[in-house]
Formats: sequence, C-alpha cells, structure tokens
Amino acid sequence: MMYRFLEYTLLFVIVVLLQIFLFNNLNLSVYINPLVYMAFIVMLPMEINRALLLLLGFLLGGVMDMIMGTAGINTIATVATSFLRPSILILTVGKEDVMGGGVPGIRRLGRKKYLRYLLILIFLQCFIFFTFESLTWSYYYLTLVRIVLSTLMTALLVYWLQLLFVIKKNVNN
Amino acid sequence: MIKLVLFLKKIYVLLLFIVLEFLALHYYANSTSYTKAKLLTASNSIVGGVYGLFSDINHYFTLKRDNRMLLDEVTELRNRLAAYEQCDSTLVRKTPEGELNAYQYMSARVVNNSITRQENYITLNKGLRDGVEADMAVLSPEGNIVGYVLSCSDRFAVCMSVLNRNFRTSGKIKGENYFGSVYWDGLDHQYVILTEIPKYAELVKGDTIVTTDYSSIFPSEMMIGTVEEWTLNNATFYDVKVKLAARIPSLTDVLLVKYIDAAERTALEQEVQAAEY
Repeated sequence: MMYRFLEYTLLFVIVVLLQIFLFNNLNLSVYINPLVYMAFIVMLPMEINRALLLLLGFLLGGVMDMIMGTAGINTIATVATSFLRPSILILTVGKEDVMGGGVPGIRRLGRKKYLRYLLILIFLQCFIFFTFESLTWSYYYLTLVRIVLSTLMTALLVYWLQLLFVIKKNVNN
Repeated sequence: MIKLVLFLKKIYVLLLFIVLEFLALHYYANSTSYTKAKLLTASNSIVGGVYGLFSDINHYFTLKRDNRMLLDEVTELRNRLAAYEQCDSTLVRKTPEGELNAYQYMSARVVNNSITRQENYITLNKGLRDGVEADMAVLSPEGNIVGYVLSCSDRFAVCMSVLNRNFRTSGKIKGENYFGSVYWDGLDHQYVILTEIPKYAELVKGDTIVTTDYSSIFPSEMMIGTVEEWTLNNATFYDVKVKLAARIPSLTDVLLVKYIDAAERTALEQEVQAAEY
C-alpha cells in the first residue's frame, strides 16, 4: 500500500484542483454538474482497508465542501459511496477480481465490468449529492434529469482520467 | 471481554461510517446561507488568488464588448446629468457633512461565479479593505440586479446570487403598483419567478419588472427582467415567469451599491417589531 502513497496523494491534489478550477467554472447547464473528484475514490486500490477508504472519503468530501461552500453535501455523499464501494465492487466485478487487488481499470477488469462498476458508483454519488442539494420533491423529475446527465458526464470524465492514470503507471513501470 | 473486542472488530467499519455520516449530516442540518457564505469567504483567502488570475485571463476576451458597453453607459449618464444640472436634484441631499447621495456606488470584478448549483454564490475581488460590507446590492454594469453581499474577508466578498434558492426580494411591474416576491425556482439560469401578483394586474409579455422601495438592499426602480409568461395560482394571484435582464453566466464586472441609510432604517424597523412582542 505504501508504495502507492505518493501517487495517490498526487491524484488527490489533481482531482481537487480540476474540480475547483476547471469543472466548477465550466457552468455548462443547471443539469450538468460533473463531480470529477470522484475519480479518486473510483481509482483507490480494490484491496484497500475499509476504514481507510471511509476516512479518505470523508477527507475528500470535507475538502470539497470547504471549498465549494456546500456545507456537508459532498461529505454525506462521499462517505456513503466509500462505505458501499466494496459491496458494489463485489456485485459488479466479482469476488475473484476483487481478491486479486490492484487499481480498478479496464485492463484488469475488462471494459464491461469496469463500466458497470464506474456507472453504479458515480450514480450513487450523484443521486445523494443532487437529492440533498435540491431538498424538494416538487420538481423531482428535474432532479432526476440532473442526476442522470451529471452521472454520464462524470463517468465519461473519470473514464478518461483513469486511462491517463493507467498510462502514466505503465510508463513508470 | 474478548467476545466484545471481536464483535467491535467486526462492526467497527459500520460504526465509523455512522459516526462520519452523522458528523456530515449534523453540519448540513445546521448550516444556513450565512454559514455557507462564511465557509466560502474563508476558502477564498486560499484559492481566491488563483480565481483572480483566471478571471484576469478571461477578461481579455471580453475587453471589446466591455469597452462598447462602457461607452454606452457614459453617454447615457451624461444625458441624465444634463437633466439634473438644470434643476435641484432630489437625489442629492444636504446634510451636516455636506452633500450626500442616498446611494454610494463602487465597482468590483467577479472572480468566481456558478450557475449550475441550486445555491449559487458570486465571489468579488473587493472586501472589507475596500469598504465592501454585508447587504450591499450587487448590480450588473447596466444596472440590472444580480444579488447582494453576504459576507466579506479583507480582500474578497461572497454574494448571494439571484440564482440561489434562498434569494428573495420584492419586485413590481414598472409604472404600476402591483408588487410581489421574486425568487429563483432552481430550474433555468435565465428565468426567475415573481409571485403573488394580484389577478387584477394587467400583464403583457415584455413588461419590465423592477425593484420596489421596500427593500433595504436594492435601490428602487432597478431592472430585474421582463415578463415572459404567467399562470394564475389558486385563482387569486399570478405567478409570473420573468426573464432576467442581467446575464449572470457571462458576468465579469459588477456595481456594488451601498444604501447609506440602511442601518438607520433597519434599526428603526427592528425596534418597532421588537416592541410589538
């Protein structure tokens, strides 16, 4: 675990900076609000200790809340997704692959399994985030549109980031 | 005892989850627009400099447009000035300290702005050091309402955007006295809702909606937007969809307006309200 410490610290900083300075300022539409910082939780090694995963989720959400001024919404969502990630991994990828460990990626898991894992995890995050943000049931179908479009956009961006992360690792090896 | 330790070991992840989630929910449940703005103000002292850099770069692309608008503005102001020079202006009052306007204007640059969230805030590059304070009105350079200042640090100010579900002000149809409450429904960054307009009001598409005298933040007769469409609610009043005049997504500079008598006015109003209880 320790040998990846530097890489993951760097990843953490990169996703936070990308979120604050790029994706929070894109202002595409009320319906598309990508939560790209989730790339960090998506890419943590599969064999990671569950408690550590939770603490990292809490840290990531806390940092994002502090900077975005969202008062807890990011943390509520990231802590929940971090807690459920191991179960989602087993459900979507299968026990054997999870036991194998390593960074979840297309090469290790195959495109189909990886996309399933990615979409479910990101959907969960977006579902919690936007539900808490809107806090009303009156326009819930519009909140659903926000959830779906933001999930797709985020998944696309994380997928792309993951490719870069994996390429970088291969170059290092 | 060993059994207890084993049991705890089994469920400590769940316990940790519950504790962390509780902390986050607790913070969320106790937050208000004001605490959120405070949080943003604090984080701006770290990331505000970088926001400023980005907005500097953005600025170069809008220079031409800004220049043209400035010229239009100057021409119009000169015209208005000419009218006032002929007669005694009601806008200027004599006070012991000399002549004083009811409102004081200041310009500022937008360094951070969002439109995609349900609670959007705007960060400006001026703060306490420049004389900005809470409850100053924020207008676009053309004089259309944009929001108001919530909280300031030394160098930055965080403002409540019109595009925030907690934003409220009063608005009326220009030239008539039917007034209502203006808020954003969180759906489209081009429209706000003007509600509680009596059904006797005659609405025409394109009518101008302006601020009223009732606000201790916004000067009166400032443009909010134009009437787009309306629906009758409860058969008693209209909900009017208003197209915002200010183009918030492409906002680069704003005017800050300080209502000089605001403190005196709110103090008096609060005194009366307190006396009633």
